[in-house]
Amino acid sequence: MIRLMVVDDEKDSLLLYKLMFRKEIKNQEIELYCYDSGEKALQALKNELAGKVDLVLSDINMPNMDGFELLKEIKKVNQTQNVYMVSAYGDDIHVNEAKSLGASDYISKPVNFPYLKELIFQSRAA
Amino acid sequence: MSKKPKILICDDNESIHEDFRFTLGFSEAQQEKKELSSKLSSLINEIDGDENQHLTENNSIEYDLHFAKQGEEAMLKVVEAEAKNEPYSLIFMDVRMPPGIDGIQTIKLLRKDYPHLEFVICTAFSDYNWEEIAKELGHTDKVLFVPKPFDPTAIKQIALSQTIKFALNQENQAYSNKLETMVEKRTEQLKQQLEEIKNMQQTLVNQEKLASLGTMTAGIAHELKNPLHFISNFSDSILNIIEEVNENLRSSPSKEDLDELTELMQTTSQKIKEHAARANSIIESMLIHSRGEGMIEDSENINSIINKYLNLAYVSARSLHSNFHCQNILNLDTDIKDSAFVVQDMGRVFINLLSNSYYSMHQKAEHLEGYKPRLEISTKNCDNDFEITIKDNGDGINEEKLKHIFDPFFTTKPTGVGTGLGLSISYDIITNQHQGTMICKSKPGEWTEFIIRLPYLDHLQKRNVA
Repeated sequence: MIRLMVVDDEKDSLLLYKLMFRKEIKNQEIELYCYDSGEKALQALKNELAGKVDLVLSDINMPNMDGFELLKEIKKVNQTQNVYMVSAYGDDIHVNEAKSLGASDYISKPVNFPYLKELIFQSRAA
Repeated sequence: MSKKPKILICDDNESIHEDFRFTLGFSEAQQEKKELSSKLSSLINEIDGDENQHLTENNSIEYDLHFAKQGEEAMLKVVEAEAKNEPYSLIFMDVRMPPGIDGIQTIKLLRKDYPHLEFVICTAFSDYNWEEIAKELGHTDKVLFVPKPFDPTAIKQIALSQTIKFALNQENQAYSNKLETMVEKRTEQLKQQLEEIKNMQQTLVNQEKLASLGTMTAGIAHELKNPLHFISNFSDSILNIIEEVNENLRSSPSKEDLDELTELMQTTSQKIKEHAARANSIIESMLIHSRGEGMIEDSENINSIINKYLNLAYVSARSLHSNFHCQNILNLDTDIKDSAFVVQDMGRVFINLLSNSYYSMHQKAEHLEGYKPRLEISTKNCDNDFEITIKDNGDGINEEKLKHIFDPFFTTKPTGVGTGLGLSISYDIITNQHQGTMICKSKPGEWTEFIIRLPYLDHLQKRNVA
């Protein structure tokens, strides 16, 4: 079972993750934790989900705590936490900043879900 | 003035012609003296270039004398001389000259076509008295009276002063003509330059439009990718659900399972529709922004314009500086009614103002630890108008710069970052196009506030758009 945390301020985004991982969730291959703000996600990672999340998928453009801030905070709490940034910003500036802050990967929107699933299961196998 | 002054003497009495020839002409001794004097004066001219030398040499004046016995003959001579551009400097005119027209009538006729001519009327006042002559010719400095019989010295002096007067008048006229030509030429040049400046201004305004569109492009790309992300993936999820339905149908499907899947498909289809509409509205606003000409006037609510453009401006700012974040606070008065706007132009105003705010706050964030950027947009309904306030807590503007912020080409941004036209165009859109007012207040280092007041309008006045 892979435990995925998804952070995105757009509620539709969370609905989409649930739909796209519907089969995996049903087959108990993936467990999904959804948060609509960086603050809430960070709170959960510090408390009830501490050490329990295999991979965080976070949007960048969010009000208040944005994806990069969340990434920084997560790395303070757990240096080895796997985090993928997911964003509609496709430029090098954003990609490089994500990498420099310690993101394991950068996924551009529109997300290619078959590819994302492959990445997730590969990282699990590794 | 180098030529001999031409004098016409018109008198039916030939002995008078002789008198004039004797008085104004040259004797042989005078001729010799004149030649010597002329040589001397040309030598002096060569040395010190004093062109007026000959004017002071009264004795050496030589005239080109012409004679006529009748008014008609005098007129023919004048016409001929004027045609050759060799006018008479002075005309002595007798009054009674039977059988032809008299001197007063001759002068009257000549003055109609040649008002510059100088006349001396030689009269015994037997035919006309002074009042009658003044009535015929009007009060003019171009006509003198000499009573007959005349004094040769007076005639010499009159000839001298009147021919010089004529020459000076001619010179003056030529100079005026030259000046007029110069002024006309310069005016024409200035007109051309003004036209060029107008064209340049138009080019710059167009460049500013393109520049602000350029600023928005990254924001627009980001904004479009979001709905595309949903449209593309929700469609995929419908395919997945259909697959699931088929699997269920192959086994023994429960009604609950099928109901759930149908409902999911409905929700998902709805989401696709919503995000397609979102993408469409982004494209619309982008097209509206890029359209320069053919402004479309619309009845709109300022609150919805603000909502639309705030998002675009914010995402654009963030696309430039990924680490920039700002708390955007909206206090929009729902009592505000619709008014006439050129929506794309109002949009430009907000893009310009908000981009400036974000720029300033980002600059401040770069150098001030612990600073939290904050932007507040409020609208307020008044009776006949409404007010929009945009306040940021950026670096502010000092008093000196505040005086110039609406001036074209005034910018505090580095070269290449700002054109200096954003605020001047915005000011024009607010004050001219929408008949409103816009003021700016600021506390340096603390905040900047723009207050826009607009009247409720049914229609905008027709105008030439910059």
